Amino acid sequence: MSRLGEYFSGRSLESVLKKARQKLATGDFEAALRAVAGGLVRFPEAAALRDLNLSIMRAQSHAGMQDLRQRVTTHRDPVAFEQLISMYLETNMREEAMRMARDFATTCPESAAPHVILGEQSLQSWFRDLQARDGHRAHGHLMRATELDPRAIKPLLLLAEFYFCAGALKALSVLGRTLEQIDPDHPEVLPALEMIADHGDPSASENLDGSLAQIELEDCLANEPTSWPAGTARRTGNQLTEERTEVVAKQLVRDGVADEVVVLQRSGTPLTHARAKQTERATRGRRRPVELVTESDEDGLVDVVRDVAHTVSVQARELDLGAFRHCAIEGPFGRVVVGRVAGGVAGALRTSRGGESNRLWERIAVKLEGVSDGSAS
Amino acid sequence: MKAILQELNETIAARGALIVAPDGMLIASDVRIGEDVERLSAMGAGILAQVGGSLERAGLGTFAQVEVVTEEGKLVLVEAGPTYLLVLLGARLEIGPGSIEIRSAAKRIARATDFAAN
Repeated sequence: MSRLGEYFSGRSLESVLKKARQKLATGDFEAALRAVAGGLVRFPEAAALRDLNLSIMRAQSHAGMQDLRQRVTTHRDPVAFEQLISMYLETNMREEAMRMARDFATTCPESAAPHVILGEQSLQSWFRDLQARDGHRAHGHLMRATELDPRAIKPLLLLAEFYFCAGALKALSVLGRTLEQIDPDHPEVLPALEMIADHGDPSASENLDGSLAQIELEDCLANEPTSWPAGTARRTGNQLTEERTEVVAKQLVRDGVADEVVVLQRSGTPLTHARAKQTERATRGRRRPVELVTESDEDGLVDVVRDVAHTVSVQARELDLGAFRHCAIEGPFGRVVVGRVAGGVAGALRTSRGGESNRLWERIAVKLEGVSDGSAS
Repeated sequence: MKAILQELNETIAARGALIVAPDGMLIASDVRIGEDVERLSAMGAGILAQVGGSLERAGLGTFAQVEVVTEEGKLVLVEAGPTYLLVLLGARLEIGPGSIEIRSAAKRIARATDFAAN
């Protein structure tokens, strides 16, 4: 089916987003959620769909959250704390969830629950960005949770996954013995114990600080979380290929969305670099010609995209602003947008005036996320 | 100039605002309790130096504004005469470099710095 056909048949990512937004605008939350759910089956990695899903859920949850906030503020109710934090996390209000969890830990110092929440969130940040600081935070909170509730399974399983991915095989082995003593027949514990039997090493010499520092430096885990029994939902690898990104980059330039498009792997290695041909003009009725840049001495935009992504990512982490998503730079040259998408980094230069940078980034991200699902044409 | 930053922060519920020189030196600041002025200032300096330098090397020249979107916040850096205005916002505020409040504050800062220079 042609892309035009896909759009009008409602099967393209753009048409799914449009339909869901229309339903949200009319207040039909259930229909909007159904539209997004259908789209996520086809485009599971599309951040625009996930963001829209969260916006719909937030709008729908507004009244319930207010009630729980009242119970937390007035009664300092531990159950209300947990439910409110859970709602915040479901709707990706992560800043609020973390703040509430810290308040929960202060209000109920003998409760392991806030430390499990804080530990799990820090662990997710660690898997996403591989920053040692997140690893230390996750470890600290999960250890505190096990001290407060020694028989709780969840923090122990999260610690096991952490030790496995960090390559801390001695600590993994020790933790395995703890799990065996608590509940060896638990359905979630059994597969973990099998992995620990295969990979744990009680005689290993290790230093967790050193391991976390090396992971951050090399941007690579000791063991991939997808190997862990419950880790299949975590992905740190690249989801873009040269062939697919080339198609999309050329299309974006040909259609005049951008004058130059760059796509890099997470490591900074270029995948694709396309730009409008300088020496030819597009005639009326014909799309403008595009060329692929292969000479390294013409990698100006590649270096900009790489430098911006790295600089801003590091600075954002230092300020506890969470993971870098995207950035827009405007000046006499036009605008440059840079962002993380589908496990890689993309950037584009648009020299003509008009339009919004956020809209430019969204168009690029949607196209690339659509490609990572194999729907480019 | 602190008054301009205070008014801006109150108007748009920002987490903080700074004025930095092109070399990254902090000129004035107004931030919420708990926000790290030093790190915020360092981020501004880092963007000016690294991003600005990268654009120059690519032959694109200087920038007039930068907007950074992260998981838990947004940072806006705009020209304000001979200086730059840096504003730290929450994640879901639909405010950016083009907002009237930020542009107005930048203009006022530009006038104030021009006046001070003369």
